[in-house]
Amino acid sequence: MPGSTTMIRTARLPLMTALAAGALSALLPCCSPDSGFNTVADYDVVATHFNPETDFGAFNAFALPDTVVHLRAPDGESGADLSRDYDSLIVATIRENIEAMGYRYVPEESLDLHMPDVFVLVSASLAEWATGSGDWWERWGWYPHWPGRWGPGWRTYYPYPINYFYRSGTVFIDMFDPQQTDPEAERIFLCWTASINGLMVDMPEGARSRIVKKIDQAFIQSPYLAGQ
Amino acid sequence: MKSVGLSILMLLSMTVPALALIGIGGFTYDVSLPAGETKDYTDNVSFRGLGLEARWFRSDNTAIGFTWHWSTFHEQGGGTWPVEDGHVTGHNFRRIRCSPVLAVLYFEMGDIEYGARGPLYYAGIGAGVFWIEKRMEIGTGAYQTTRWHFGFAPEAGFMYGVGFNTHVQFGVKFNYALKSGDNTGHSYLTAIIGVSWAR
Repeated sequence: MPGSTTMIRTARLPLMTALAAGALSALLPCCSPDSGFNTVADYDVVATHFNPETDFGAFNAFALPDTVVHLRAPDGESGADLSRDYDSLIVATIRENIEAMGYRYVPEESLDLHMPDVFVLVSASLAEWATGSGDWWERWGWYPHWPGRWGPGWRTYYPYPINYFYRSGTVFIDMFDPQQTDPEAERIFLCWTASINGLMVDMPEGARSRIVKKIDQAFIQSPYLAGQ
Repeated sequence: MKSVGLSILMLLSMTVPALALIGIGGFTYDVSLPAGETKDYTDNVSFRGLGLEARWFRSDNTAIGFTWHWSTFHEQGGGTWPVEDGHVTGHNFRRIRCSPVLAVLYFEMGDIEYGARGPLYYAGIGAGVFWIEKRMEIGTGAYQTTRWHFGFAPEAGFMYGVGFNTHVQFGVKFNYALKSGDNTGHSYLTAIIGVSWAR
């Protein structure tokens, strides 16, 4: 070794390093930046999920009840009533988008003669609640065109992750194949779901264009619905 | 993970004989530039990084050491992003937190003697595990995955002895974490400034 300094034959970590380790560990929580959600609009989300085992290319015809069902929270709690002024616009916009993807609309009066490949249901939450499998019959049992074997106790089931907490006014669009059910468990498997968080809350001016834009987005980000 | 464990054990066993030699340890402040899949997810430079390093010399020009670092990448924005079995659109906050724990083999050139002043150049290759948390907050929900990745990190730099057994360290390292399960690999370039002490 050159030079006159002395090599110290020990390798204990310096005390300063140990102290630094403690200090840095204490600072770690400070290393998480602010998420930057400042306005109500920052919480608007269009989320779509699909069952990867579904062959959307096999679907040709769809039915769409002309009603937006308003959902209460599982405990029955409900927030303010939502306006129904936009129900027809919401349903019409959804129909236009599905038809644009190559599906044929089956009108309600033809359902007894021609069972569609899929049903599309529209609902809106009246309260903040975490969605999950819902009591399907309580919400949609009134509809007269279901296959006869479904009844009270049947529930919808999402075969994909749905992990949001939804704001009041969130609009859900659910698609299901009436052939994909579990009669023993009384489950109806959804094959596609769109949730548009807070769509019907604090309706500003320009609400109609906002509704159309958000619903269009749900289909824009779901090109697989066209079987591609 | 079995091969990762074996690799770490081998490096640990190589380290034991070196414990009788001079050691240098200290902490670093890290600035990281995302690359590859990391850049696709969070494009901003990370100024939130720190680390701890220690090395023991086995000879005049080789050393074995351990490093632990922490970097946080983040970005806010909109757009449509893929999630498990679906997509989400809206204002979102994306964050990747990386914490590699690596065993490192260094090649050194310079004066390693106790109390020496002047530069000590080094190049090294680290191997070990990366803890990586990937999170997207959107609306009132969040998607988050946490995985351990096997990875490696070549690095180079120098320490400058400034007296009082103290060194100032400047270096760069390229961190590369391999794909883990359904999680993509991650990579980023880190520039470090550190202070270390010799014993």
